[in-house]
Amino acid sequence: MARACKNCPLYVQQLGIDLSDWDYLVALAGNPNTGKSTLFNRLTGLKQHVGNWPGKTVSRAEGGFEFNGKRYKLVDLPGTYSLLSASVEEEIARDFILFGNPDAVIVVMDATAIERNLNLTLQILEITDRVVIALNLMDEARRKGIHVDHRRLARELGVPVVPIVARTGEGLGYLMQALEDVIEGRVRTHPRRIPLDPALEHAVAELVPLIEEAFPGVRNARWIAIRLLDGDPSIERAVKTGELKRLISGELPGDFLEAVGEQTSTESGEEYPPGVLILQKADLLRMALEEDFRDKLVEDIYNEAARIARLVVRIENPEALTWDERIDRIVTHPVWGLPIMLLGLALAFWVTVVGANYPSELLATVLFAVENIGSRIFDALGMPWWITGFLWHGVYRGLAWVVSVMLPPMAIFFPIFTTLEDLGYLPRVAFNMDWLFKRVGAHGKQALTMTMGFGCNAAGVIATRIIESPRERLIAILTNNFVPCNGRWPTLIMLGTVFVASAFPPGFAAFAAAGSIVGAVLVGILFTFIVSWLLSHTLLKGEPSAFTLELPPYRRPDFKRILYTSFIDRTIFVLWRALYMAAPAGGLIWILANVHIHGRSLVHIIASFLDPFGRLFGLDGVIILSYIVAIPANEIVVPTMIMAYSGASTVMELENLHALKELLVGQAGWTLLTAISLMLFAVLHNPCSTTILTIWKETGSKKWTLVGALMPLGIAFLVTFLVAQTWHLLGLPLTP
Amino acid sequence: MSWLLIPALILLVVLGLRLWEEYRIRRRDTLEDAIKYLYDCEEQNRHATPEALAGRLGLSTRATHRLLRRMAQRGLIRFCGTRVCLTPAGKALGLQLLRAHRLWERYLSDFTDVPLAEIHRLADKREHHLTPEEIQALEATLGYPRQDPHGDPIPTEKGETRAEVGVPLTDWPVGKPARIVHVEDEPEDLFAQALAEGLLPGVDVVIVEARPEGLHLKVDGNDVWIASIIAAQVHVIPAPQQVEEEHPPMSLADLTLGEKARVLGIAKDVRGLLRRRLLDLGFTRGAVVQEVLESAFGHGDPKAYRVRGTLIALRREQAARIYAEPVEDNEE
Ligand SMILES: Nc1nc2c(ncn2[C@@H]2O[C@H](COP(=O)(O)OP(=O)(O)OP(=O)(O)O)[C@@H](O)[C@H]2O)c(=O)[nH]1
Ligand SMILES: [Mg+2]
Repeated sequence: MARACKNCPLYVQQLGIDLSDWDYLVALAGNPNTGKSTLFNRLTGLKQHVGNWPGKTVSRAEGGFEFNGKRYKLVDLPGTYSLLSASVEEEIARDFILFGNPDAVIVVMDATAIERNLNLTLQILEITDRVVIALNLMDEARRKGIHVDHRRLARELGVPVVPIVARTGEGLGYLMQALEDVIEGRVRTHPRRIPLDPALEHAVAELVPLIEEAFPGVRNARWIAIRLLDGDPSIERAVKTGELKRLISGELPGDFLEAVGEQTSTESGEEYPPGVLILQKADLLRMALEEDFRDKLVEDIYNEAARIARLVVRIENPEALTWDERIDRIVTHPVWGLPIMLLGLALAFWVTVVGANYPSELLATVLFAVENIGSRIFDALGMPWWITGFLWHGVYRGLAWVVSVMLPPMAIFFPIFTTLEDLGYLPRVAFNMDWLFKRVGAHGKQALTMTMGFGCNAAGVIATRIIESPRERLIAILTNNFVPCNGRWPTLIMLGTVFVASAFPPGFAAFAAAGSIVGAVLVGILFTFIVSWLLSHTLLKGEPSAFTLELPPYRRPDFKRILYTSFIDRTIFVLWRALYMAAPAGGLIWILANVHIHGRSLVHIIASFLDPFGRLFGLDGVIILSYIVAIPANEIVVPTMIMAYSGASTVMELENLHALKELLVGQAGWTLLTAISLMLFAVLHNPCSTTILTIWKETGSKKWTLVGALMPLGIAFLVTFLVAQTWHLLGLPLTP
Repeated sequence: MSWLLIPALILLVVLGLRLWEEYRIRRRDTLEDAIKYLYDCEEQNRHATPEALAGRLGLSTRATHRLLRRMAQRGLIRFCGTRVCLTPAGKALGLQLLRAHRLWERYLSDFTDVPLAEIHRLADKREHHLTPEEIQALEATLGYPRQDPHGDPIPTEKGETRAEVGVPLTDWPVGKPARIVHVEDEPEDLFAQALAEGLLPGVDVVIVEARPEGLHLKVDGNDVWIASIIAAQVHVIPAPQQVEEEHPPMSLADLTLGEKARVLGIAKDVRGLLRRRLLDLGFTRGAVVQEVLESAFGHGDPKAYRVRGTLIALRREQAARIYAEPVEDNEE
């Protein structure tokens, strides 16, 4: 290992997503939350999302790097506790290790929880012998006074073990060297195999020769035998159809899982006779096993893990360990826990709303000044008015609005959120709030996915993968939409400031605005609970459910990375959305506002057609039209409305609140009821098309996608209808 | 009011589609229910008449006749005299439906929190429209259960109940109590020898020692040596165990803050998803667990436990199903 350097990834050249002509294929596997993605980013220079809660990475990511003149393709797998349970993440990880034919697997272990991590490590060693172990989080281990004898560990496991700190890059040189040595056969590994229970060993021994005969060249017949005895549908399918043969030879790609999943529905029922025979044999052998042989298997693996852990781990400073517990006592304290949580949340919102105000205005001023200048230049150049109008007052204005309104809050909210996430605080929120979620038949982790939803509902829906229990996961997916995402804040903020704040003296205005926004958020949360309860007692009755929640150790946030991801990532995200969603919508609305038929603009015609319908719900035609136009992205609701109301004629100074109020109340005839109905509608209505698509991808079911899209819409109409009609019945005042 | 027409029209179309769909599903469901009933009758050697079928499905005579005609057209039934008989194709469908029903019951009881009383009804709804592949996958996911939650056997694809087939004694592990279900009667001399040793269906045996040339058995308390070729004739299943699971006095839910305990095991009735999860997280027999946190707002529910170096929160119902015994602080 003389060539490697200690602290710098000197030889490692990050290649990003450049995956051309790679020499070696390497997978990153390990328990959740051990720093796989951090290591992946470090090596490839990519920016996979990392976070201090288990299950942050939910599907595979790929990247490349170069070391010693060889090009590597690196695959970041989702973290799993085991390969025996066949949950979605586990299947992704397992299938890749089994059938992706990687040249080596880097198992990332958490040096502070060796025993737990050994469970998976031993299972992986059972499948493949080309393994290098990256003993990560060495800095945390040192801080906590946990000493791990990595040489002893390497001897026990029979594969190289390299201590690293993925965050700083410490030890990466050695890791790469060990990886190369294993791949090129300079280091021979002798992985430890778990001693099996005699009865199981007997059954496995019967199956292995059959498997080896039917599938020549299979490298992990033992593991396949165990899985067949256990009953693993996807492996059984691969054996029965003979698919396994093609997998072994590498004819099928490693991500065959999805392919197999799709095939089953249309499968012609082609069978591979030796495979069928193996299944029948496994069927017989299984009968001879105790029904709880799986318990024994896991027990044996853990006993082995405990034995090794006792040999290699020494805790030098037990005091340091209790620090986490002390903090936990405070944040889950009966008196302090709740205030800390609520204050934290309120603070995050307040900082976001107040902090975003100034940059937003600045951006708006600048961007709209550019619009003026640009359109004047066009005029001066003698462009036809409709080109100038379409490009500058349509496309550009839509874009400018979204950028100025969305970018600042995102850039503020995300670093705060990510810091909490990195710290490890969010799972504690789930722990604190679980009692409430339990009452409505949901999972405490839904608190996490809801917080993600404040940023973006699509992200929130994806994050529900951390909920391992299918029923509670579906609930979380279907209700995520009730937390207003960043794209809907502008609507809420505008309403809060224009209608609520202006009704209060200047001193209270900011509080009143914030209060009304919090109120709207609370309405959304209230509906989350109501709908969760309804779903778990009706539609989702009989869907599987289980509850476990891991509380990861607190870790120091990585501020450099946080700032980077928040600013760069989010900026790109917002700009991209603005370009793809807002710009076309801006153009469309400009056309609608400027094409006249019999002297009436299209906007006018459509809006007045929709108007009576909107009135039923306390809204109006323009608002309904805006929501239709805004199906791809909620961000453009407000700009669409403003453009529709003001038409093409008036060039409005948007940052001027009074002008806005003048427009909405004076010209468009908004009332207090309109404002309230719109606030409710904004919180409750259907998810944007991106989110709907995500729901579809995540559930794989048309039925749930439809429910996810239409149920909120129905609820939004129902609630606003009731509010509006009651309002009229009671004869409440209409003037704001 | 012209604007009202459009939504109303859309609504009407959607409703119409929905009803048509419902109708089609119903038709298929009734057909499958009829097959299931006929299959049941044949299993129990009861006569199935069109009248009995009509009564069972709650259909009018006319509708029943229409249904029977449809089934006959599809080659699922025949009329033998006044009775209705299933054709081989009909039997195959019947078996598939029975399997689907019992597997769903097993699934609902293992993986979900649906009360036992409602399981049958829910399974009745779900058993329809499954392809054989889907049924197989369900069976594998459940780990090839032998019985549904009510104790009825779940037949294999070929229609055998696992209990009937059994495993040759030669494949049986040493020391595990077995019950004989079947002794091959071909060739006769081997059959006679087996009988002479007292190896009859219904008898319980344990293998004491296995050698290549033969087995040492305990049959009803007697020591018996038999040759491997005879052992291969004898098919056994796990002997039913009378021993009730005794209730250990303590579970993880009983721990107080800071207290430690050693896991004795997870209750038998925790199956499926949750059992796998708990095992994977390290709640295996022998693991030392310490309670370190209680949710203040939920009045001690959930609680967080330190197990194998990490903190895992469990709800009370789950913690109560993990049995444990107290350990002294200085142990471990
Ligand atoms: N102190 C310290 N923290 C680390 C190190 N490596 C990773 N982390 C932190 O550990 C947390 C988890 O890191 P991830 O890279 O998301 O972990 P993962 O293994 O990809 O997790 P999953 O995707 O959930 O399986 C993050 O908060 C990281 O910042 C390290 O070497 N030292
Ligand atoms: Mg990750």
